[in-house]
Amino acid sequence: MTVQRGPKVTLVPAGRSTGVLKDFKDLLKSKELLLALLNRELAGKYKGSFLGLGWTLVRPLVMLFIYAVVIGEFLGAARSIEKFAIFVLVGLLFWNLISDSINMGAVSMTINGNLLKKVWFPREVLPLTSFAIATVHFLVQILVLIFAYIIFGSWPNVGNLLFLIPAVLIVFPVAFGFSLIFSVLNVRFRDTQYIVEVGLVLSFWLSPVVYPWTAAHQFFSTLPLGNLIQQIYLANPFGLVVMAAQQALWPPISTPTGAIYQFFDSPFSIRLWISVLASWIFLYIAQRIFARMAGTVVVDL
Amino acid sequence: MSPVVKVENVSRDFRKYYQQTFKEFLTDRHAKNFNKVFKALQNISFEVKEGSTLGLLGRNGSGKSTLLKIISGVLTPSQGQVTRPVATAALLELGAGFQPDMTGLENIYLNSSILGRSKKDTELVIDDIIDFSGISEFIDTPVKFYSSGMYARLGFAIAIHTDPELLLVDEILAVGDAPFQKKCLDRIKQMQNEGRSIILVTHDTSTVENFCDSAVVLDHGKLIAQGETKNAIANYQALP
Repeated sequence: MTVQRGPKVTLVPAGRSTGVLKDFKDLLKSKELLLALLNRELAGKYKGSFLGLGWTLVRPLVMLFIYAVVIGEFLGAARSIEKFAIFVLVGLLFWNLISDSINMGAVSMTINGNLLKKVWFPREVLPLTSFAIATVHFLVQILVLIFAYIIFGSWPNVGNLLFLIPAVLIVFPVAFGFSLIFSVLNVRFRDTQYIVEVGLVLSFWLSPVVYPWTAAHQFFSTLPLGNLIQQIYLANPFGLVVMAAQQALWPPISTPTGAIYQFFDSPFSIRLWISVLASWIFLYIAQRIFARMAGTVVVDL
Repeated sequence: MSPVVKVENVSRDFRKYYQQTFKEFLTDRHAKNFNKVFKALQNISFEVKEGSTLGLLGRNGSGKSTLLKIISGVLTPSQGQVTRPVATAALLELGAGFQPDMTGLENIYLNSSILGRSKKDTELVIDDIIDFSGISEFIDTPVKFYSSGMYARLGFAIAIHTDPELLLVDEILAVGDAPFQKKCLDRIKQMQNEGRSIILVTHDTSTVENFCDSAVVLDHGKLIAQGETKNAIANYQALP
């Protein structure tokens, strides 16, 4: 047996990277690695536990219960919002996708330090794996939503599902982009992961997950510079994702009583698609930062 | 014949003074030691001929391991560039990335994919890997129960079965007991015969004599000799 001569690679100093397209091609070639790491996380994490992947359902179910009872019943939100449990569940699903992938992404380089120091592979695979894990959890949690539809006996309008397209087109670049930036920053400054945790708690309450966006607007309009504050509030990509998801998946949105909670006039709303564009530009910038830093931070691990 | 590896003017600096927290980063930016650098490698250039074995000789701290990491891609150079085959296997740290809770078999697939192999490729050589590692009895046991010897054997077996064009070896001959060491050496000889190229880092001159076609000697980050092994060894031994 003799060895086959294959393609060559040229390794250059960090910052003189060969461009986002080449990095993307390398990443595509690593899909087997992504699957193997995903399997390691999912199979490894729940190994020896009785519920296994079922544990993914426990946390959102508990959160759902708390929000639906405490905010829905105690504070009375359920009186003005029909099927409040589904309303909260939809927001939580998307919120968990965002926060899980960013929280895991932020530590993805630091916890795989021994791997990064010894083996070369496209480094983007690690934060991308975090997003993939969060997506698997998200898909499992969709089952709870379907279960809720059956219990309440009401289903979302099929046409409204179009809102999911821009929602997904924002979630991926924003969540993956933040994971890229925070993962390399966390190697350099270990404070990053804690700042990220706090920041995510803050953005949870700054997104209309457990309250309708109209509630925030009514409050802002009483403030001086209320218009400006409203616009800043609406620049939050996570909030836009949650609102788009609610319009897609919360059945009462197409009834006369629920219609006041519509934010976007259509799935082709300009604000929505400008955000999609901005999110992908953000991902591009994030990848450039990542490519510049990833080669040099290894010594800090 | 064209070279399989080209190292061109590679330098690597490390900052001597490294901040840890964000506060220190902000407050100590202008401290006088902040920008002091340690030159681990200075302007290194050499080539490896196709199918040949190159020895990388040097004392501790001469920069050999840094150079090997740059060739593998784990570290980027500060200046210069390296051209090498995509199919490169690095025996730097055996079993890096093993998942303790997963079995030996599951880790073979995981580790192979980290080394850039597809599941299909791994399936073709899975029996050879298990056979070579000599731990078939424990292949369904989680690797957290393995002894360090078993760990290294499995790691070695996986790395050499990735069909590399170039093999990077760092002081490999310390793996396992004497029979396993002999098995590794035989395997490395076999890989040489198959026309694979090898870069072997060592400070043992007899390894260089027995295995290498040529050698490079590093001292304090500088390349002080390269070429024929005898000449290189003489240069290495002449180091203070």
